[in-house]
Amino acid sequence: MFVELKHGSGGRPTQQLIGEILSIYGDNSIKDLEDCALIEGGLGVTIDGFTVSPRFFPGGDIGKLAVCGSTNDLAVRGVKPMYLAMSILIEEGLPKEELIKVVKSAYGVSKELDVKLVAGDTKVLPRGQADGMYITCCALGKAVTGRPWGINNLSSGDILVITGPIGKHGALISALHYGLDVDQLASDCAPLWPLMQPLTEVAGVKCARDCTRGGLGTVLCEWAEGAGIGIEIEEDLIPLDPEVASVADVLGFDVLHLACEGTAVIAVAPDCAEYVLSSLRVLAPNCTAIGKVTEDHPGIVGLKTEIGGIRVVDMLAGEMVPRIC
Amino acid sequence: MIRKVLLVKGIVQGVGFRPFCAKLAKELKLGGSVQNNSSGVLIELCGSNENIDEFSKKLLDEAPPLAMIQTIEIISEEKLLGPIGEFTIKASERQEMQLVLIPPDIATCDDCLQEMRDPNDKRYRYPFINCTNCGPRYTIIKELPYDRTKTTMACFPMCDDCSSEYNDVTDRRYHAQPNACPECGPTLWLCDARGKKLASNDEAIALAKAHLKAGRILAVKGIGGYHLACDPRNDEAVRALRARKKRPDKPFALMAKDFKAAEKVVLLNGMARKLLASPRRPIVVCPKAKGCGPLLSAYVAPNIDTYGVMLPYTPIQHLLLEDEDLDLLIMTSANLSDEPLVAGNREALQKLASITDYYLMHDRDIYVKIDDSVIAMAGNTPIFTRRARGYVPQPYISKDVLPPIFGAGGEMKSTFSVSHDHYIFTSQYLGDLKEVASIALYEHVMDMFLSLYEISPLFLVHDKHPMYLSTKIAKDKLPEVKDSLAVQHHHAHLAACLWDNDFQGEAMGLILDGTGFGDDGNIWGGEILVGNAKSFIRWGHLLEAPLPGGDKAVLEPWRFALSILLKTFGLDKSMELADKFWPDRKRTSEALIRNMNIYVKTSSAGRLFDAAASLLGLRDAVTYDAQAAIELEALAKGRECAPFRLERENGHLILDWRPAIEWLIMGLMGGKRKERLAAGFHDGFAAALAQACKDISLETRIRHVALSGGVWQNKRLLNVTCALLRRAGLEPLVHKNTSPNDECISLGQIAIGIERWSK
Ligand SMILES: [Fe+3]
Ligand SMILES: [Mg+2]
Ligand SMILES: [Zn+2]
Ligand SMILES: [Zn+2]
Repeated sequence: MFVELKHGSGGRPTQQLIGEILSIYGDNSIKDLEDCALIEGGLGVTIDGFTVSPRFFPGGDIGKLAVCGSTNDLAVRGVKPMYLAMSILIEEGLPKEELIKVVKSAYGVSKELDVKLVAGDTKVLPRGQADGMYITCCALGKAVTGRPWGINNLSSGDILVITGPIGKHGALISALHYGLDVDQLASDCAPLWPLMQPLTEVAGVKCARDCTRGGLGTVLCEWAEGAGIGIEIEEDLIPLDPEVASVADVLGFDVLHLACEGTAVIAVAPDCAEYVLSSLRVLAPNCTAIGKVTEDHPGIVGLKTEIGGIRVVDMLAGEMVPRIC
Repeated sequence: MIRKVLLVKGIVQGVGFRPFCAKLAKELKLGGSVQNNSSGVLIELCGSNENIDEFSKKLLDEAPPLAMIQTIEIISEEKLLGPIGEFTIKASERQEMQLVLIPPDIATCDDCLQEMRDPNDKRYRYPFINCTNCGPRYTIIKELPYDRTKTTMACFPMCDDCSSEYNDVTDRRYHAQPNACPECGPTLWLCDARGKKLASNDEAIALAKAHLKAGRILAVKGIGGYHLACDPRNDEAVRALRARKKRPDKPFALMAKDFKAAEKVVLLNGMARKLLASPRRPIVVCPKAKGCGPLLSAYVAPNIDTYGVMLPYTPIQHLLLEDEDLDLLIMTSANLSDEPLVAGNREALQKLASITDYYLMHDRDIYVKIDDSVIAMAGNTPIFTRRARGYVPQPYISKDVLPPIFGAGGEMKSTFSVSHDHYIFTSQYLGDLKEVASIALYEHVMDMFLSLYEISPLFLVHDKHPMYLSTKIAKDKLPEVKDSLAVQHHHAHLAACLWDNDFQGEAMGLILDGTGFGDDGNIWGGEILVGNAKSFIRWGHLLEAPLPGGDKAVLEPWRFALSILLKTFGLDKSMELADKFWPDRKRTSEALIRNMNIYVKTSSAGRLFDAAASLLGLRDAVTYDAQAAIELEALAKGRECAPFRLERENGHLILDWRPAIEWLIMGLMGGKRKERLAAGFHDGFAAALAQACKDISLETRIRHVALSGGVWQNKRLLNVTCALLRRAGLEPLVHKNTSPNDECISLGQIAIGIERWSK
């Protein structure tokens, strides 16, 4: 058996691969598969590798993506990002100015978030042994919510809120990869902490996730399966960019599987949904409620379609586009 | 004088078998008893040797219409010491092993109809009249043995009259579990879209008819669920139904008062009549009658040359269709898009509120939902396109004891099958498992089958597709199986067709369908296999081409049309043709052509027919399954033969469609009639398939050809291919008791499992 590209999709095959890896660690690892781990001392930690191709794209670059991607994993668990550790793998022959540009871009987001780079490493690989540069970024921060946000909090009736239109990053990278022209489209790559911070005070916020690889659909499947709850979302409530729809249409992708890089789905108790939405609206004018957690069909995510049925949403099965983040 | 005890096995409960025995025993002056037990019916006979032999003979010859006697076992035979005595019917007994077979639901019989129309009868115009020979069965049973208390009729205690019928051995309603009368039984009422009751019983019928005549849409509760009914002559009503149901094109089924009404709109041959009138009452898809066009709204079954027709099978339906000016009704399953049909009253009020104007409701609960069965006539050959009411849960019977296997089935036209003892039980059509509600139905029926028959499968067979939900459900529900097996989709088709034909040897398989997960990770669907349930080889297949946009390509046939143009004509010419055929889709088609190599490849025959339909300008996008191919078939007229090529490539036989696509495009450019092009595409393809089989037969000496896969619902393709195969001295094997589409996958899975796990 070999590791295949599909194992990096973020969908079901990825889940299986991770399962195998964790089984080796047995009890010496964390069991709940959240985006970041909450560890002793009220700290949260996460690590992420970034290999996106192309490295520069409308709306961002690999440096910005690395800081956003890793700190967003903290933000959606109610952890304030504070420190970064970064490892950069560079291919021999990369123009130095490109490296500097990437690091400056990373610095820009770090500054905005007030996070410090406290550890780092660089390696240079012989030409051909890497494609330009890869970044691995570890983010550390402090949990500030009363109770940790996580899928264990999910319960029937919770309202699902999305902070903006879905799939923009995935659609953009796909379009660039397959040579489709989409001049209107930019990645949604952005830090989520500014959005999430005000919510850390709201008791009714249960759980959040940035919808990266595998998209909104995969995240919701993980929630439904992980918490043994049912989820129902409505097709016509999900904010969608026409350009994203068009890319998905051409390539035959499901928009629910297209990655976001600065868009989160948040589960909140029904009585504070309105409050959460109005609070989010300040920075995320397109945020909206898209569905709810139900008692029906535990473990299954249903999509209410325009023609009236409820379709099963599954995780992404194979790879869509290699190297999306 | 002797005393003989017989055990009769088969479908012998709930079909009037015991009263029949009692009547027969009385006729022959025999004493003794008859009793249902969990293995069948136990008959004790006391009397002369001759009369007892006569009894056994008549048991087989004159058994009630829905009884299916499998075996008659002699349990004991001895000299009778005492007197002959009375013949009695004894109460059911429950034993450890439960092997009783449940009968399917049965159309109202002639005796009951006569009573219902007799003003002097206590059940005059009673909408729930039934007897031992007719009425609901499968849909009302919750538990075995089959007794009233175990059905949804348990909440209607019988009045004295009904009770005495029920207990009178000589009565037609002796132990008829759904027996009822106006005094004690269920009631019928009409309510508006918000559930407000407007009329009851006969007044409800009168009002319902008036509303139908006025062009309103009604939800009518039937045996396995609700129908949506309206007047098919009323254009506005039919269009409203289409709009509200969000079902733009898929044909609506018709219910005809009688043959006379049916023949106004369809051509009926002998076989079609037989099926229509059978107590199983399927929808029979028949050619539209010549000149029937103006009679019905064009929106009943647009762009095709057939209507699906059935005859009434419940008293309510007979009452609704009693007037000459309402002798045809649209009766389409009441559901939302691809969801299972609606069967509960509350469910109906909730889900159908935006579709229906009124409800014709009653309070006899439907325990399990089941759709109407659909059979299409390919000349005189009936082809199941949906096996459900009237047929399920009748099992396949094997002479061997079978290992207990669960076959999880496919995904789109899902069914499951389970083997047990000498039987294979196949569920009804359970719908598209991509619908959340279908999953619930699958689980409900699965629980029901396993508990009714007390089966704990030791083995699981499922499709090789890594994402099929049927596999997931079965694995979740059967965590304790000893062993499981993933079976290639088209191998399951082959095995199903062979089992269905009771054929044991090796056969060729022309397996043509839309999609199946191939052993090489590609999407298969135009497969020439050689093998049996034990094993198979992929002898050949259709030329493969990329399927641009995965599932999208299924909904938009023009995408695969573009792909085959590219494969046939190369870049420049295909771009040029694409601009011509789909000028509005230029942006997408250019992107698709540029990226064609990223898409998964398919050898699907279903997609090829869709694509041909798109090239002929029939349609670029479909609103129901196989629509493009169905319309291509409807278009085909005349005699032509498109050239398909057979080639050997790396030891594989490749059926190359490129010459046929060239022929099609040339014909289009040359102004040849599309009817002939469509005909040529069908017949040329059939000729190539037959030729391939001839070649393989020369090499292997195999003579039988199994035809399975949804594409074989194409009547023209089936008839022409069968004729050509026979002419070549080969023998086609066509599905008999199951559909060639993916409904048969679970049966094939069981057949393959039997090979694997029979010791
Ligand atoms: Fe199939
Ligand atoms: Mg992460
Ligand atoms: Zn009857
Ligand atoms: Zn009564």
